[in-house]
Amino acid sequence: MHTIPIKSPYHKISVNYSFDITFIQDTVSFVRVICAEEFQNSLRVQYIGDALILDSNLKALWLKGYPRIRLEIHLQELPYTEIFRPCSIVIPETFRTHMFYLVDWGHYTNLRANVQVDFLRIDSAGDSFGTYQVGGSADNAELYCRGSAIYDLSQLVTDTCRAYHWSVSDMHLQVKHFLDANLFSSGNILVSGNPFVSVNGTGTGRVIKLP
Amino acid sequence: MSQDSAWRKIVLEVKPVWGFIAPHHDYMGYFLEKNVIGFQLDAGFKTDGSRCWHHHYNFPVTGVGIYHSSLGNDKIYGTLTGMYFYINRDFTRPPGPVHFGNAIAFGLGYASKWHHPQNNPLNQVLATPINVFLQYHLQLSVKLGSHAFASCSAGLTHTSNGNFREPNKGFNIVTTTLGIQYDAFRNKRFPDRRKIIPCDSVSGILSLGVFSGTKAISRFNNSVYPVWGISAEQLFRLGAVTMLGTELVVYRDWSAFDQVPPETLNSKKESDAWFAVLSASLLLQMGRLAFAFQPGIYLKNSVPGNGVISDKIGLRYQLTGHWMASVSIKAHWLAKADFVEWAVRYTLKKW
Repeated sequence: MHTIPIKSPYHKISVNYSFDITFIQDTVSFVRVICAEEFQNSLRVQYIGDALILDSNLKALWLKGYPRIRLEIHLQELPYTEIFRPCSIVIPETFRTHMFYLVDWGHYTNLRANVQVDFLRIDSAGDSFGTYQVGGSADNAELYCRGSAIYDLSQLVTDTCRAYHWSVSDMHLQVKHFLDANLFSSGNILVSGNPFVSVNGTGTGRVIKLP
Repeated sequence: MSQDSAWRKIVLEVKPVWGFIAPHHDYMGYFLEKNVIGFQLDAGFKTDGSRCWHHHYNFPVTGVGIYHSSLGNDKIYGTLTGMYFYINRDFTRPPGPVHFGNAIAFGLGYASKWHHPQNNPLNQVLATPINVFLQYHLQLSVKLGSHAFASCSAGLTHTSNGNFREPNKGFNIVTTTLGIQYDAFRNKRFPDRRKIIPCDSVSGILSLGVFSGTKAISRFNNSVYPVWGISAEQLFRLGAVTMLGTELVVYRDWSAFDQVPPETLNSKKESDAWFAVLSASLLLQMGRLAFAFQPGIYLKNSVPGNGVISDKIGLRYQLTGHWMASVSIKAHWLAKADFVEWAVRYTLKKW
């Protein structure tokens, strides 16, 4: 195990390599690298502008037994997070912070998160086939779901939610007051919580209210 | 039984396979957990020098084989089983015990796992169980006994569906083998190299062809679109078993309207569905069979994503004096499959 301190301030995390990332709320900020000793030094942590860049120079994995590098990232707040490579992101314990804002520019992210935030936003790219499962609570949520991405936010209690749904898969939500549903594809939005729903868009998907 | 009877010309080879998937997309690499392990069995016959092409390809072995291997992730990608025709030839025939050559195989591959939106969404590589199987290997063989050889080879194995369904990224597998070869013929009298076999005397061919195919354009769209076209080709004799020429192809692609940028949809017109390609044609002939390599460029193309380059690689078979059947994989950007082209050609003129 190898630990790298994170210097403040930074407002963005860019993930440029395929890692298995776990975010843990803590009073100090550092990255714990969990993998075989020979690969620990392959991690590259750089600061460019206000961005913390996570990268690795690990190549030719067929020669190295396809190792997975696990990063345990300890933070006080969750910054805006951009993902450029297939990743697994887990927030196992409820992370209490102002905002959870994740943009997936790549094709695949497996997100399992538990948050308590004022504002939550998730964007996935047009070729995405990732799964994004979030629980906890958010006052306000904005979702931009594309490709065949699966958004399962049925365990996330939101007051209001604006969903832009281009995905062919169904989206699961739990909204208390107001849902602004914009449907552009064949995917449905299945919503519980009995909110007032405004439906727009040109897609064939529907908003289905669950008890 | 005569010296040249079929069983006296048989060549058998068993080859354990070791390799790895060369991922050309990051998400393919992400799901890989292990290297590729498998085996290959080949059974063929040594050509006996009775045809012109036997001499020009240095008396190759032709036959059928089976390939089976894992694909790096048993749960998502499963296994690949290929059945193929192959041709295996030595580059030269030195008198010593070491021989260097190459082998090419064409056939069909069965993938045990393929993409399904609900059941296997993480497999974004193959959408169909039956796919095209291609393999090219460089091979070294060393004589062990009177009929036995040890062989090792390295090359590339590819499988994809020719864009019959999406997703169709295809697997490129770097494969190596170590094998044992039984060659009933190799230690016998070698065909007389000085014997002169007359080759095809045709020095030029002008032919017309019609073809069809089907294609998919997106994993989000279940539609399968037809493609129909015609072609004209002129070939000139380059060598005893090679012909070189050009082919002009015009075809209608019914998927074009769904591929043009949305901002131009309102101005779409019938001509957007028509494409024209000018290709060079290189034919390597083996009797009635020929391998065709056709690099080309689009003369007319309304889909920007297609780029400028249009390639074709295929097999042709001479049915009669005038008729020929062919199957090719058409691609753009060198190796991005567009569709599988099934064609018949009629020879208008020979000279």
